[in-house]
Amino acid sequence: MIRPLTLFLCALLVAALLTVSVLALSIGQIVIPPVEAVAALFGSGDQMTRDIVTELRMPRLLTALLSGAALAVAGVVLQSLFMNPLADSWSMGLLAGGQLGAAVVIVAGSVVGSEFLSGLTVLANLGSLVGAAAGMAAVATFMLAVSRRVGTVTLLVTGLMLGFLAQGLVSVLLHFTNRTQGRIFASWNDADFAGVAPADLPELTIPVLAGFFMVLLLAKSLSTLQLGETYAVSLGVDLARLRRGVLAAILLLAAPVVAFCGPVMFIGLIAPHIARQIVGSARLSAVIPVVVLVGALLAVLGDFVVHLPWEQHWLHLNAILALVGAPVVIGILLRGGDSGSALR
Amino acid sequence: MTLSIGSLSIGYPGRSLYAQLDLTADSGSFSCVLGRNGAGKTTLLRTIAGLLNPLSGSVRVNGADVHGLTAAERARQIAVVLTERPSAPGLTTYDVVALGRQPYTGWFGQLSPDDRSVIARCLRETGVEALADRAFMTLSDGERQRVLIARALAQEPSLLILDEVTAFLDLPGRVEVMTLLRSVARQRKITVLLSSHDLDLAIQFADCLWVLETGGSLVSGAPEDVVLQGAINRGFDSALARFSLDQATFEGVEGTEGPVIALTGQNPCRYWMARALRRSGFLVVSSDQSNVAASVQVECDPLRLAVSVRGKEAEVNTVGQVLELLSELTL
Repeated sequence: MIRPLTLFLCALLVAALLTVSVLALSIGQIVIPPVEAVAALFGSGDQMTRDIVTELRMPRLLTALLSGAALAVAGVVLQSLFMNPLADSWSMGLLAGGQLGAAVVIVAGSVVGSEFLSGLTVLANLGSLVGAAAGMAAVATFMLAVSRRVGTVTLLVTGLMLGFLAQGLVSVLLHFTNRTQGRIFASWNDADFAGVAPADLPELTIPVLAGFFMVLLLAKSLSTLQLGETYAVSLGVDLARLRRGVLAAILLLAAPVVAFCGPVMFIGLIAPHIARQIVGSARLSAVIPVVVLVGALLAVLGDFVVHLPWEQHWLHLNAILALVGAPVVIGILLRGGDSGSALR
Repeated sequence: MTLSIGSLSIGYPGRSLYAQLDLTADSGSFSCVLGRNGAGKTTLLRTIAGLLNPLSGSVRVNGADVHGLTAAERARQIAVVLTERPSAPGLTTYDVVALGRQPYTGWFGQLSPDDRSVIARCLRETGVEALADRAFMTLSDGERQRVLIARALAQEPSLLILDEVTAFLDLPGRVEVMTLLRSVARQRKITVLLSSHDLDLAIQFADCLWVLETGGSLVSGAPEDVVLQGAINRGFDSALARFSLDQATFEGVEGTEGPVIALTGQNPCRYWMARALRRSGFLVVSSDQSNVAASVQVECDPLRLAVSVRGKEAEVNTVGQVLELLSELTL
């Protein structure tokens, strides 16, 4: 059933992912030879090398891998649910909604008491996670209601505008917050995988893995939506339950990413299209494993480019992702309805 | 008795379309729902399929109340082919038909060898085997409908419901689909229920017609009974079009009071000459009557038409020439 070409491309994907991952551990402001960088993971090498690799680069790499994969899977799921090839947690405004939710929680926390933030990081992290999830849920509910009445492109524009609105509100919040709080948001407009400390990793990892698992369970029902909602119902799918399940999965996948890394653009939108081209099909059971690899690779690659030993630091993750993502989206828009991953 | 409908009222809250319907359909039978645009065919079919709740009454398939079943249980009893035309980008014909196995597969939807043999059989029965690896999006309308029928059959339903599936097809395509559906009903011993605008095809192929008449009543029976009872006329006739019981087709209302022509001879030439005469506004009778304005005698192979009009005799060999000769009668 699997094409030889697909197997070859997947092998290439895995090889690329491993290579870039090792390079990401090795190259930065301080260059560590790849072999030493990998060895440092297992406790060899001097203290400084070990610290750089295990305390800085490895958490960043893991964050990029997980976030990229999470956003990509969320993208596939949203594209299926909305029956819209341009849906994604960023383009539908969910990430910005999540950002706003997290910002509200953090600001409220700072008003209530500063120990909420400085004293208990775990609680603060959980708070912003819950805030992000609430913001995303609100936007997702709105977008689902809107999606029944508008076309593909209108929905996309609505989602993007909603995103701008939420980001504007975040800026307003920022304006009325003290300087220290402001610094938390400052990096948010440009997403970054570097903000996750090793201690925070479980709070990112556990929800994302739970989200992956939920998507595996939902994939069967989701695939019926490829024929439209009525056919899905006639095939025994409880639509309301499916929507609730998908919403929960999306929150588990994307809320931690937005809370820890900010609004990472384009990965969730383009990874599903790349994965479908690699698989040569839109069958969800085949696309989902591949999209995990594609999303992880895009994120790690973007992060790698950002953290190369540049003289100046003007390159941001979202800028790099836009350079790759925007042309792909324009291509999808212009190509219209003539291929498997195109518009309907 | 696969399908039995008891005191069913359909419609939407505040707007009842049909009330107290009692209908049955046997397994192995092919029934057609007929009605004008907006008569409620889709509402009736969706209610029977369990996709829409009835206002009151019940629909039972193999004794089970359709609206009391869970969606998953219903999917093993009833399959549908809808007016919606899915494009399913990125899926092959095989993938689309495979989706029909959903009600039977496990949590992750993998296909068992049994599932695969069912899919292969459905592809074969509907004549789309050769298209299995083609992208569904690239198929013609006729091919897509066959694939969607194959998908529905892959659900192994007791009741197959199809809404206007012939609407986008050319005439041979329509006949092919009707033939396919009738043979599927017979061979699989399932109940097939189809809504259609193709009155003549429905009359020709269906075991039973359900005609939605204007004014909220539904007449059912063998096609011939339904026609003879005038249900088609009540359901479809308008000021400008009328269903002719003689011709089993619709004709314009004007032109039935024209000059009388006596037409004799062999079929099929006589049949086609008669059509031409009716279209031109003549009333065609078979024997000489006192009030005939002209008479035409037809011979086939080669086509020879003897025309006698107002004492003049002429012999021509095309239908067009006859119409020309007779044109003075209608001036």
